[in-house]
Amino acid sequence: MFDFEKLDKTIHEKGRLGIMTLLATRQSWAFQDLKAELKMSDGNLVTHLRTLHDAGYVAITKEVVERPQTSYSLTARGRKAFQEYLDVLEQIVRTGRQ
Amino acid sequence: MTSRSEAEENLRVIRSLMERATFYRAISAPGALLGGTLALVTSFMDGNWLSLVGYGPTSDVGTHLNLWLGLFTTRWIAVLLITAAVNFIFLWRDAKRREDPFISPGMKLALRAVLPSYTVATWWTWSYGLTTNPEVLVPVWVICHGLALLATSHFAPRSLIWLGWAFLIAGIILINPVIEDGFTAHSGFAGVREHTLKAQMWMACTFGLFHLVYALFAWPRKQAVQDLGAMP
Repeated sequence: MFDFEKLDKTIHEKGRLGIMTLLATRQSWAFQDLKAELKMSDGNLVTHLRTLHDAGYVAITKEVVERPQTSYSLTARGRKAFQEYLDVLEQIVRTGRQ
Repeated sequence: MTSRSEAEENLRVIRSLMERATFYRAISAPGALLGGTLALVTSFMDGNWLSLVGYGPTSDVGTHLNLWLGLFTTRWIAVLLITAAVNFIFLWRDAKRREDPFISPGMKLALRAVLPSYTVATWWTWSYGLTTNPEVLVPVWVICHGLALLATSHFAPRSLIWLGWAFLIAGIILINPVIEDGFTAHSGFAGVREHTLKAQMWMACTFGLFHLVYALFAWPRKQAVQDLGAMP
């Protein structure tokens, strides 16, 4: 019987899973780009990003070039947690096939 | 409790998002700077091609070597290998800094995308590399490089797409006189020298200049960066 407690509940939510997936594909993402790709409202996205940041999975950087821009990236801890989450999902799928 | 079907659905969503969002710069700005500079320097090794457009005398440097079949090709293959090696070093360094694997999904995608065009260029070089008319080689190299870059367009930055279009359009322009000339081989010092210088000029303007302009646009800009420890 598979131990479903292994699933990281911080990541295992549709919105946050999408955010973690996108952050895993690039060095950093601007807030507006995340919002456009995930089609989330500002409030919803901020809430999820706050949860991920509090868990230590996401780093925030404010860049001041021509205008202020906030961008988000995975921390090393976040990258590891995401990889472990993927491993658990794959285990679930393999266990289900046996 | 998460069922197998939910897990499969989550994996499908992840795969789909990753494919849409993968972003990979196959040519680093420093790699392009080195490649462009090396191309410009190499283009003068057979003489002063600027003389074709009225700047300076025609130098005799290297003209006695022009008839050594394959020298033009050999030199440019060496430039390609050096530039590719340095580009990979810069990409490896960037990946290490980001704590990403060097052979990333993005790189695998890029390599699969560029393989067909570079296969054509390799075959063309193998077939016509020993020509006394290097003009036959250059437009195909330029077109293939443009097509390779454009093949990465769905996950490449805009600057790389522009570079691809620049090469493709230049290659189409350059191939016309070669086709009209009927891919004729040339003989005699004067004929070979003139056509070699022309080929060198084309290489300088495309592989030299275009990559330098790309490096200028793609170079990372210094920004005032503030790392925040908490959400605002």
